[in-house]
Amino acid sequence: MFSKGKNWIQQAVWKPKNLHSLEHLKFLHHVLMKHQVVTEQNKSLLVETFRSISEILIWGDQNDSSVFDFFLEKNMLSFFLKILRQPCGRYVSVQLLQTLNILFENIKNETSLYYLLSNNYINFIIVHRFDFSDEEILAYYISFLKTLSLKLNSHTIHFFYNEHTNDFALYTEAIKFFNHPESMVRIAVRTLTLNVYRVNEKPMLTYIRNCTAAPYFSNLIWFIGNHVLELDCCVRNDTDHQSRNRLADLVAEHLDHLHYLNDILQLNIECLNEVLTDQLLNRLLLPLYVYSLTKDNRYDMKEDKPHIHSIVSLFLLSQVFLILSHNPLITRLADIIFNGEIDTLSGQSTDIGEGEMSRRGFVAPLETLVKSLESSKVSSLKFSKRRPRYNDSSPDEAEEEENADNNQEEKEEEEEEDDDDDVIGDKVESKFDEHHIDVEMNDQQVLQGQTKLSTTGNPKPNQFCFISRPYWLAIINTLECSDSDYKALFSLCLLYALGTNESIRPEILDAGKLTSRKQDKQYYNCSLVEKLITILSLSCQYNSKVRPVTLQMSILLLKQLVYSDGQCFLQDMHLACIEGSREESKLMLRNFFKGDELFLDMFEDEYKNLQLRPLNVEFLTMDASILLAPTGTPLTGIEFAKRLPSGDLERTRRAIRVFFMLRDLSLTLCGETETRLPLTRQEELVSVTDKLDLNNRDLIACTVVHKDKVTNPKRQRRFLVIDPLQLILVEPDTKKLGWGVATFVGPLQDVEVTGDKEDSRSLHVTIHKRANSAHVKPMPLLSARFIFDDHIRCMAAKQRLTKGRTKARQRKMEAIAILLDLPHSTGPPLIHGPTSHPGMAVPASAVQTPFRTYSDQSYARRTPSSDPAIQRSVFASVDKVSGFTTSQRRSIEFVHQVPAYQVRPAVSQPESPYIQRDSSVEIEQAQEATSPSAYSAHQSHKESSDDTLSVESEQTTMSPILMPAKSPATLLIAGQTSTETGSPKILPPTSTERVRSLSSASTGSENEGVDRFGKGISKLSFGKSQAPVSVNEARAEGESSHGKITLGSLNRLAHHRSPKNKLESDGIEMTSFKVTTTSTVPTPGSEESLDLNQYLPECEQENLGNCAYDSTRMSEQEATAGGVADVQLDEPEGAIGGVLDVTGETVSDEAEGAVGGLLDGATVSDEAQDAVGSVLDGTKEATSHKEEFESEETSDEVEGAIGGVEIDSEEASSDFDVALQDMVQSQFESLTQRNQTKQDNGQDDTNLDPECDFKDEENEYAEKECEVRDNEQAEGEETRTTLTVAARTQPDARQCEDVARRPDGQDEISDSDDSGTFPEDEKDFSSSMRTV
Amino acid sequence: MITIDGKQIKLQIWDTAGQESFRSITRSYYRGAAGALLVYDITRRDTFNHLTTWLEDARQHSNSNMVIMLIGNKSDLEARRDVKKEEGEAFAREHGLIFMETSAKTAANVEEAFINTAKEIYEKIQEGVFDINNEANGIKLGPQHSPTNPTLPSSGGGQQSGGGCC
Repeated sequence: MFSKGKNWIQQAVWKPKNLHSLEHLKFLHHVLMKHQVVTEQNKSLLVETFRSISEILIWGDQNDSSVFDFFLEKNMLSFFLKILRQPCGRYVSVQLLQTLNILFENIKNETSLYYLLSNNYINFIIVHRFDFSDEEILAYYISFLKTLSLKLNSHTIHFFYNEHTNDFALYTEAIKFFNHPESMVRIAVRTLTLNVYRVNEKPMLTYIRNCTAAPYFSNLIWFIGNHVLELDCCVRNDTDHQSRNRLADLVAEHLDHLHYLNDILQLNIECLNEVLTDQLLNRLLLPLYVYSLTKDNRYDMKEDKPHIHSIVSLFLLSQVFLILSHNPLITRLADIIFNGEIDTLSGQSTDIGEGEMSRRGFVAPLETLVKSLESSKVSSLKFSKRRPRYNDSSPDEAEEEENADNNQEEKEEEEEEDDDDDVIGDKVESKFDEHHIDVEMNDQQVLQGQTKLSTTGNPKPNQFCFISRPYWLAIINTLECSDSDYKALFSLCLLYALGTNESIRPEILDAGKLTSRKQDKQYYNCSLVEKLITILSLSCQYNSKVRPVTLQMSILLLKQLVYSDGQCFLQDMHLACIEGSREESKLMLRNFFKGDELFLDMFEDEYKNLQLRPLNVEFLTMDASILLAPTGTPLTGIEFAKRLPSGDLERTRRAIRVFFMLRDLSLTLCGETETRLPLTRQEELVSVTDKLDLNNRDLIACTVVHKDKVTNPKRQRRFLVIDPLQLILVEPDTKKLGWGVATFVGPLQDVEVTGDKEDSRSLHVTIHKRANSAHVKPMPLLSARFIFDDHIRCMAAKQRLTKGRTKARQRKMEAIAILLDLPHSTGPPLIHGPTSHPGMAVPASAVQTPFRTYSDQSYARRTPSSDPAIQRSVFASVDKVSGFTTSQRRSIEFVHQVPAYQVRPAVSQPESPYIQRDSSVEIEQAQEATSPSAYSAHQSHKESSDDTLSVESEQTTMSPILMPAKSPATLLIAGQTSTETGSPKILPPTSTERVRSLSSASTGSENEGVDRFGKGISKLSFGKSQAPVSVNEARAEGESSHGKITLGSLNRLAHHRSPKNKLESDGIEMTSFKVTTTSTVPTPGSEESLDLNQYLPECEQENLGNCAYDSTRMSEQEATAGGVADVQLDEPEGAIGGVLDVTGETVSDEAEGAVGGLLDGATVSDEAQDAVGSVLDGTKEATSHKEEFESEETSDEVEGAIGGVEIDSEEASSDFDVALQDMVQSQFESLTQRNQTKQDNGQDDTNLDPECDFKDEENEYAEKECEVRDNEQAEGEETRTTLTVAARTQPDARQCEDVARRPDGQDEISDSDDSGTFPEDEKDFSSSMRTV
Repeated sequence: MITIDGKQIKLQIWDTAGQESFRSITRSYYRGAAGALLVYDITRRDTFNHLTTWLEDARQHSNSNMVIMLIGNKSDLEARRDVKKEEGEAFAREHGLIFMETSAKTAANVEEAFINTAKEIYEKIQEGVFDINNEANGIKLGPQHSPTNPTLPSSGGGQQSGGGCC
C-alpha cells in the first residue's frame, strides 16, 4: 500500500530506463558513493536513489538473486545508516524509512531477509534518535517497526534480540510509544508487542518479563485507569448528553484496551500473564472497579482515593467479563465479586511478596516507562515504573496525571502506612479466597439442602449470604427498577456476562447460586429470579420505566438461569408470574391496538427486528449511550430500545415489543413453538420462479416498464396476478397450458398505485420495501409502470391492487387481533381494528366527540345480547328473529332503513317479494306492533338531526364528500334521543375499496354474502375506529335485533377473515356507501334512472308501509339532506340498499334507481358535489344533475372524480359512526338478501317476487355495464346479472346524492355512484359466493 | 496527497492484511479510520461471499459514518471472472456502499478508488457528519501543510479480503 502511494506521487518524475537490472543498482551504488554527505542540492537525488533501490531489490528478490548479492557485497545498508546519522532532515529520513519499510514488507525470500537483518544495521536504525516530534517521521518509523515485527519468527528474533547483552531494541523502543496520543501509533505498538510475544522464544520472554513486563504493564494499566477515570468524569458531569461523542470514544478506547489485554493473555505466555494478571487485578480491576461497586454504602474512604461511579463500574465489569477469558484472572475477580467481604478486602494489612507490585490500589507507577527501561538495562532485576510523561493526550488526562504526580509521593507514603484501608497482600488474599471459597461451598451445600426441603426456594439463604457479600449484594440490589432501570441494565449485563464467561469455575458461580451454566438448574437463585420477574411485570405497566433493552436483558438472563436445552426449571409459581406478565403485556398492547396502517407496519417491523437482530450483549456493552441516564427523547439519537418511549407512537411500539418479547419468553419456557408469528409465513407465499396454476384465475395482461433502468431496461410483457397477499407478475409457462412462472413477487400490503395523468392505460406501481439496515435508505422493491391494454383494464387493475392492499392488511390486522385475543365475537375491538381505509388518518375521535357518544349509545342499544349465536351468520340470527315481536319490530325498522336486513323477515314472511318489500311489510307489522316509543325515538332523533344539520351542512360545503352522517333510521333504531347529537359523516371508503357489482347469479351465496357483508361491516367499523367501550356497552345492553345483527356481522368479520377477504372488502365498500346513503336523506332519484323505475313499485310498497314513519323521517331526512355531500356508491346494489335504508322505510327503490342512473353515466364527483347542493334546493335540480352525470360518462372525468373522491373518502372514513355502520350492515344484509333471493328463487316462495325484480334490475344494470364487464364473462349468468359495479370510479367513486322529492312527500336522497363495472371484481364476488 | 476541491488532503492508508488474528488490532484499525476499502477478488467467489462478514465487522467496530467502498479487484482477468459486476453492484446498493472494479495490475481505477473514497469523506466532512476535531474519527486537521485548508482526512482503513494487492 505504501509503495503504491509513493508511486502515485513519483511515477511521473521517474523515467524508467532499464529500471530493473543489476546495472541500474550498480549505478545507484555509484550515486550513493558520490553523495555520501547530504546537502540541500543532492537531497532529492538521494531520495530518488533510495526509492529506486527498494524497487530494484524487490524485483531482484523475485527475479534475480544477483541483485541482492551485489547489495550485500557493497554493504549498501551502511550508506543508509551513514546518511541517516547526518542531519539529513525530514525529507530524507522519511524516504529512508519508507524505503526500508517497503523493502521488508515485500521481501519474500528468507535468505534475503537474513542478509538484510544481519550486521545489526537495522538495530542501529531502530535505536537512531529520529525527530519524533515530527509526526510524519514517527508514523513511518513506527510502521517500519511494525513491519519488522511481522517478520519475526524464532529465527529472525535473534537478529533483534541479543541474549547476551539483553538487548531488544525493537521491542523496547517501540513500547515507549505505547501511550502516544496518535491512535495509529498506539495500534502499531500493540501490533508489534503482540507479534513479539507470539514468537514465544523462551530467553526473549524471560528478558521481557524480567526487564520490561512490570514497567510496561503497570504503565499500561495506569494509562487505562486514567482513561477510565476520564470516562467516569464524563458520565458524572454529563447531565444533558453533551459529551456523547467523547464518551463513546472513551468507551471504545476501554474496549480496545480490554481486547488488547485479552489478546496478550490469550497467547498463554505464563510468565507474562502472571505479571499482567497481577497488575490488572491489583492495580485496576479490584481497586478501581470492584471497590467502586459499594462506594455508596462503604465506610469512609479517603477522599483522594480514586473511584468511579458504580454505574460505570458495573458497565466496565460487564465488559471485562464479556471480553477477558484468562482463567485465573477471571476466576479471582468473580470470586471477589461473589464472596468478597469489605472487612477482608479493606482491612487486611499484608504486604508480602514481590514488593510494590503486590500492593493493591490504583496508583501510578513509580517511574516512567522510559526511565524504567533505561534502568532495567543497568539492572534488569530492578523493577520500577513510572508513567512516561511525553504524552498528554488530553487536557483532562494531563490534569489528572499532574495531580497524580503531585500526589504520588505522598500517596506512596500513605500506602505504606495505610495499607489497612485497601492494600492487601496478594498472596494472603488468594489464600484467603481459597479458604473463603471452601466456606462458601459448604454454605451452598447447606443452602441447597434447604431448598430441597422447601422447594419454594426460600430467599433466606441468599440474604444470609448477602450480609457478608457487599459486592454481590450491591449488584443484586440494583435490580430494583421501579423508579429507573438505569443501574439495573448494567447489573443484568454483568450477571449475564458472569454467566456466559466460560473461564469462571462453576463452583464460584455456585456461590451466587447462578445456575447459568449448569445443566440442572433446579436450584436456581430464587431471589434473583424474582427480581427479574418483577422487572418483567414492571415493564408491562403503562408508564413503565423499564426500557425495552432492560426487559430484553432480563429475559436473556432469566433464560440463562432457568432454561436449558428446551427444559424449563422454573417453579410453577414463577412460571405463573411470567404468564401473568405476558397476559398483561397483551392487555397493554390491546390498548394501543389501532386500525391505522402504521400499527400494522410497526407490528411487522418490530417482529422482524426482534427476529433479525437478537440482542447481542457484547454489542450492548459497547454502546456508550446507555451509560447516560435514561432519556425519553429521540433527539438524542439514542436507539429506541435504549431509551424511554416518547409519544404515543413510540409507546405503541414499545408495547408491541414488550408483547413480542414476553410472548416469546413464555412460549420458550413452556416449550411451545410459535405458530402465529410471523403474520405471513414464507412458505405460504409464492416466490420467484414458482410455477403457478393460473387456470381460472384473474389475469390482467400488462407491459411492465421498470423505472430502474439499470437493472431492467426492457419492457416486459407480463400477466398481473393478485394473490391475497402478493402481487405476482407471471409469464406463461411454456410447458403447461394455463400455468405461469412467477417472475416477480411483492407483498400486496406495501403496494402503492397511482394513475398516470397522461395515459389512462398506465399505472405507476411502487412496492415499498422496509429498510433492513440503518446504513441504506430503503429502495423500493419494485418501481415500475404497468401499461394495460385499455383504460378499463387499467382501472380494474388499479382497483384490485388497492383493494388487495387493503385486504391484505385487513387480513393481517385480523391476525393480530386474534393474537391479542381480541374477542372476535364482539364487535368493539374489531371496530378498533383494521381500517377499511388505509392511509387515512383517523381523526374521527377528535373531530366528532358527540358523534362518538352517539355511536356508543346506539351500539349499546343495538348490541343487545352478546349472544354467542351472533357469531353465526347474520342470517341464522335473522331466522330466529322472526319469533320475537319486539326484536322483529326492531329488525323491521332496521330493515326499513337497511333493506338488507329484511332478508330475515323475508324468510319468516313469505309475502315480501323483494327484500325491500319484505322490509316494508315488516315495517308495517312493526309499526303495528311497535309501540309509540319507537316513534318517539324517531322524533327525538329527528330533532337531534336537525340540530346537527347545520353543522353537517357546513361540513358538506367544505368538502363535498362529507356525508351528513345522520341516518335517521339508525337513530330511530337506537331509539335514544340523546345519542344523536353527533352527525356521522359518511366517508366513502378510501381509494382502496371499490364498489363491486354483486352478481345476481351468485347462487347459494346467501350466507356468504351475509358473511361478507358482515365482514365488510366490521371492517368499516374498524375504520371508524370508534371507542371499543361503546361497543361493549352496546353488547351488554343489546336490546334490539339490530344490535344483534351488527354483532353478528362483526363476528362474521372476525371469523371470516381469510377465505372471504375479497368479499369483505366488498362489504366494506358497501357499508361505506350505505352509510352515505343513509346519512343523506334519499330523494327520489328514481326518475333519473331506469332502475329506479323498476324499483319504484317496490319502493312504493314500502313507502306505504312506512308512511307513518315517513313523515317524521322526512323531516329528519330533509335536515340531513341539506348536509349531504357526495356519497360514494361502491356497488350499485349497495347503493340500492343504502337507499332503502335511508328511506328506512321506502326510499330504497329510488336509491337503486339513482344508482342505476349513475351507472349509466359515470358521475363525476364534482358534479356530485354540485348535485348535493342542488339537492338541497329541490328534487328537480337533483334530477337534472343526474342527467348531467349521465351525459358525462367519459372516463377521464371519472378518473378525476376518483381523485376527488379519494380525498373525500379519507375524511369521510374518519367520521364514520356506528350508526352508519349499522346502516351499512343493514344495507349489506339487504343486498345479500337480494342475492340470496336470486339464488334461492325456487326455494323461497316468498322471495320469488322480489328476486325476479332484482333480477330484472340486475339485468338492466348488467346491460348497461356490459362494456365494462367484457373481461369478466367468466361467471356467465351471474356476472351478467350482477349489478353494475361502481368500479370505475370506484374507491374513489363518489356518490352523488341527489335529493328528490317523492310523491309521498318524503324526501329521499338518492345516492348516485359512478358505476364502472369491474368485471373482475364481480368475478371474485361471484366465485366466492359459489364457494359458499 | 491528493487535492479535492482545491484542498490538499493527505491520505493515510493502513492495510490490515494478515493481521486479523488479533482482534484488538483489527478493531482498532476500524475505529481509527474514516473510510475503508472492502476488496474482493472477482475471480474468486468465496472472497465475495465473505463480504458480509467483513462488512458486519467493519460496521460494528467502526464509526457509523465510515465511508465504505466495495472494490472488485483483478478486473483485468475478465476471462476468469467469477463474480459478475452486477452482483457487486447489487451488493453495494443493498448495503449502501460505493462500488468499483479495479485492477491493481493495470492500475485501472486504483487511484480513483482512493480518490473517490476521499471525496466521499470530504463531502461528509463538509456536511458536518464527521466531527473533525475528534481524532478518533480518523480525521485530522493539518495545520502545517495548508493553513487555509483545514480539513485533512488522514486515514483510511484499507482492508483486503481478497487476493491481489493495492
